[in-house]
Amino acid sequence: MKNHRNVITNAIKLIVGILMILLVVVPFVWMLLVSFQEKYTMYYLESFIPSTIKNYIDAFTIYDSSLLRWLLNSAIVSLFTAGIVIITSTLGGYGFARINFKMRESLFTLYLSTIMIPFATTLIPLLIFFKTLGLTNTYLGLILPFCANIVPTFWIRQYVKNLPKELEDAARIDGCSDIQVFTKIVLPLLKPAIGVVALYTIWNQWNALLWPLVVVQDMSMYTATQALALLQGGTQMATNWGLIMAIAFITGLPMFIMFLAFQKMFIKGMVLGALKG
Amino acid sequence: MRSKFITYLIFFGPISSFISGLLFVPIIANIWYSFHRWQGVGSEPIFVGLENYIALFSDSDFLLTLFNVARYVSFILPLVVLVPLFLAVTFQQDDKWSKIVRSVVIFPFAFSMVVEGVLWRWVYQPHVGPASLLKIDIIGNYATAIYGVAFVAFWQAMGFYMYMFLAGIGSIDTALYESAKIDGASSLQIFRYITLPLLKPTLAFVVTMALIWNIQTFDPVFVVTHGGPGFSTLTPVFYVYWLAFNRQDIGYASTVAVILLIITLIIASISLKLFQRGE
Repeated sequence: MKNHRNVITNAIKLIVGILMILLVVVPFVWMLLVSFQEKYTMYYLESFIPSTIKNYIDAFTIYDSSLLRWLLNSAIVSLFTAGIVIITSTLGGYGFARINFKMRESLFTLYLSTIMIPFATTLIPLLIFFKTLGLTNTYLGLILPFCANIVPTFWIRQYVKNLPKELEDAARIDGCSDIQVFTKIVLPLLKPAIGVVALYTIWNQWNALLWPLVVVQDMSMYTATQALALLQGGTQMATNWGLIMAIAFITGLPMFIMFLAFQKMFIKGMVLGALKG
Repeated sequence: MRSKFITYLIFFGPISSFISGLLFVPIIANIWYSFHRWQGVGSEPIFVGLENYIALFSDSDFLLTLFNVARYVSFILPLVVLVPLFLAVTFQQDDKWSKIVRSVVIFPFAFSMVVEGVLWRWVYQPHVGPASLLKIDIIGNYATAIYGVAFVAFWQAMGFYMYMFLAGIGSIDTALYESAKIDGASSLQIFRYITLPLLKPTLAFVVTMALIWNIQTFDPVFVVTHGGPGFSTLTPVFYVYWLAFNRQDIGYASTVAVILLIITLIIASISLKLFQRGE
């Protein structure tokens, strides 16, 4: 009886697993196949055999060779956002975990409740402010709204709360100020959490669409994701699908590499960090 | 006293200025704009009181976006709860096969909705795409387009939700399973009487976040159907975007954004309340 049950369980695991893998892999493989085709139409696909890398060459030369610039824009913006978020979240996270003042918890709850605010509700005023300040079509304009994110601060706060307090207390007795305790004792211990914050922020910024669409009109300042979204928007008949698929692949590649290199850290941070609330 | 002030400023200053300057102030500004008629950034806003709010009720496009997002959410919510929960229970062990399936399922979550929306536009091609086997043009049809878009969003996020449930399952004391097994409970019984009740906090979190995120859906719609065919996949966020940037109707766009905020807050708090009552 028990063996019988195990066989069924294993069969379910096998079948469901295969179905899920197909569901995920088929669209990606399809993208790759199309990106290596020269002759394609909406109605007819000549063959599945990769036959040309022309689309990949075109991707970098077409639109005045802008793709490299767009990728660079995305990289610059993502890295700078990550840098700023690391600073604000480690300082804020430590503060909200360890530095006492009246109303600290209510203030934190107020900040945390901002995860419920639809971005659409801040979108229009942000654009109007940024226009006034001359921040449209600039890197800073792309970066700033992504710094107003309480989630990384929340993660760091949780992380600090789980650190033993003895080390910090000992350092205080030795005459260290709060700031010295933070930089000398706590910051080195936060390295794994900082890695997670960096990955999350880069991922979030690289993949963003709505804000870049709004704040950047100048083609040379597009992010790669934004450019892809705008390029593929033509009518389906006129769209050069092989080229679009090649650009989609190139745009996704950095995230693919990041995912492969840091998979465990990536998942752990996102999921556990979110759950501990 | 002064050094204490500087300490507060260093630790809480940066995050507080970002949160206030880029979230709290804009929300207040948005509410303020919603009481104005304001056609384009260059022109002067004119105070009109509740005029925009009254106009909402007779705006059939706005009502259509609410209808669309209701269809979208009611399709995607069961999917992102039931499928990932089933996957998490099925592949919770650390054998090699489960590990492989788990990392494949989370894979689409690494990429932007834009890259994947492009993939799925091709998958949905009625003539040569894989979906052509179904013989229907899912995203070209008024009745089905919104579900086609929602499926892409589900496909992208299913791994994320699965890991949420895995984390919830992982925090359950394994001794409970052991003793249930000794007592001869079937895996279905174990799921019903041990896993499910103890997963309630995870479930509450997943449902609430899935509601908040999917009410605000924009990226998959923008890429896969761009609101069409007709307005059949136009969602409230897309409508705000379209009103503000194509029609330059800033006052009215802000009004829709305020309503969206209110709807989100109400639905999130109802969801949390329902789960609290069940405890």
